Amino acid sequence: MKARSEITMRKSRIVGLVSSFLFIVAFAPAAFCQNADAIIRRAEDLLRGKSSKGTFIMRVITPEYTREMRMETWWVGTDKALIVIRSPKREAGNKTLKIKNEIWSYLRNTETTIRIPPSMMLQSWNGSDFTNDDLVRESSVADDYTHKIVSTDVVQSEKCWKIELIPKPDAPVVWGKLYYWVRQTDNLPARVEYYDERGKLMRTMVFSDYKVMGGRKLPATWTMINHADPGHRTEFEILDISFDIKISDRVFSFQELERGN
Amino acid sequence: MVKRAMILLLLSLFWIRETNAQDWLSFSGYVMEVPVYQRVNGTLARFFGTDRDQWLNVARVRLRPTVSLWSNARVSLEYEITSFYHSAPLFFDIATTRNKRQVVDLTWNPVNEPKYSVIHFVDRLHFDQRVGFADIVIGRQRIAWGTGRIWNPTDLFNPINPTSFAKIEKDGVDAALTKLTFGDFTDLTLVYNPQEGWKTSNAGFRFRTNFNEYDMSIVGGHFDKRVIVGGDFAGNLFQAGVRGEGILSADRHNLSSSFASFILGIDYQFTSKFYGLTEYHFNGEGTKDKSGYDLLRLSRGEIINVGRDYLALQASYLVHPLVNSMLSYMRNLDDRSQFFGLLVSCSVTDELAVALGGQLYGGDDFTEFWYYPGAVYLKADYYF
Repeated sequence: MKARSEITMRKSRIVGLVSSFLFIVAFAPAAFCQNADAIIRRAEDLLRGKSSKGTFIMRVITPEYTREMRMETWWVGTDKALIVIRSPKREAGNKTLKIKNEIWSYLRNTETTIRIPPSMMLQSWNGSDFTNDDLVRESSVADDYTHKIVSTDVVQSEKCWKIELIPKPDAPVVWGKLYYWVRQTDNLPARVEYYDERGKLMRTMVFSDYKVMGGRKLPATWTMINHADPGHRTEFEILDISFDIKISDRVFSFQELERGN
Repeated sequence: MVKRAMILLLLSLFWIRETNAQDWLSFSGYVMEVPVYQRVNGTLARFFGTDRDQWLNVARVRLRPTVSLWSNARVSLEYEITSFYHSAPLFFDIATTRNKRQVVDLTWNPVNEPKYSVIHFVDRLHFDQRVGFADIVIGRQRIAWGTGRIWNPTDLFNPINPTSFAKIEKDGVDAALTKLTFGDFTDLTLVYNPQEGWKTSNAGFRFRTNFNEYDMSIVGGHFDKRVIVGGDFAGNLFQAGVRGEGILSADRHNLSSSFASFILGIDYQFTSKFYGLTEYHFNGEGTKDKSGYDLLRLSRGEIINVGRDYLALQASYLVHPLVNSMLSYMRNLDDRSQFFGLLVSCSVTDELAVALGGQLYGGDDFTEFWYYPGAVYLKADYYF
């Protein structure tokens, strides 16, 4: 009787172990993916908030020259943005308005508004290593890719999750794959690598100079390294920023776009 | 007296800017230098008794102070000083400073020699107040109607000649404008442009909205004693940008003089460096018969083209992040005269750019572009 019950107990333990193993095998990848998805969304949310208003300096650095541009930006989520260039004087007053997938440019010197067609999305934005598409498709990092943690890694002495982002079928994205490093201590992004459809590394975004600004910790310098043009990179330095503030819808309108400086 | 007061006001703004820079005053401007060599066709040179080979120089200083007065109110001024040298009498004046939409003469010539002149003029001077969902702008201003890149038939105020290279801005017009905003992309603009008499004054409206990723508008009004109705659109056709605009113009007392004018255009960015656009223009005010060309109005800058059908092509190639090249081609499809333009521009510093350009015109005798001189020019501009 005892022996029988021991057999039964052993059986039930084995069944329990097998069940646990099967459960882990069956559901762990989903849980891991969901985790990666949450990490990416949290990292993006920390960077952008529900809304933000800030002042930036953009430096385009090449082996031959360096150009600097100061700009003010207003963002609501990733759907609405207005970017106004304040210097240099030649470009001052030029504006970019983004509403979902549409972009308009206002050129102050000729007082004209230009609608940017889809074919121009891969054109450089204001001479930088960013394209118009980077502005429009910003929401795609969270929504247009599947996310999977592939390893842990160390970036700038910080332990990070290395997450692979693969475009969803029919997603309107230009990249074949992204690797996204997120710091484990504060869930902030550390680095993003952009690969084309043939798997060639095209650009790397490096986040650095982490400090508290606008009531939250974030990287104050974002550097986009262009591997297609060796020695070319674009730095964004955040001078000041406020998050989760009320921004009138009027800011994102033709009226504001065309209202001079 | 008014002109002296304007100069004093400008000097005061400079002084305030230098000694007491505050947020309420913003100031910018640029200096542009354009030396030109041009060659007039022999027949015209003989007819007008002028030299075939001509040297010109246009130097422009444009000062752009803006003073914020109180909440959402400001005064903006764009004051220009142009010095103009030409070695021989000209058929086309490339330094024209006034247009028919300016009712107040804010131009004066302190130097007016046969070959050299200095012109001061006010190109913008307007008061701007935002009240709730309305913007009110009173004074000399730029009114930007239309979506075309080369031609703008719906620009009933200040169209610019596409062959012009000495000026980048459209001329200011004297007007009272109200823009009522009903949404992010929906607004109604009402404009009144006074002339010397009430009956000759111009008035119009433009209702603009955005539907299904297309910007579109309708325009209408009474301009130059004619009734005008029209509209424009801009949107995407697959990956390309498409745009169009057009008007119908009718004189109620002479309906046979009615005409239509429209453009259709498409542009495409072929690679990150190579961009192209094409535009077709139907100019119902013009004629297919070259003997009927209204050259007098053309030379005075009152109209831009004299023919009926035009095609323009434009391509630009980014040679280097700081060097851009642009090739332009325009053809009068009726008389087959044509225009080629090439411009290579280089950004030397953040504020300084230099460019080398050339214009070549071709066509049989007395065709439209036969009248234009070929030109080579340098352009340097510095912003401050």
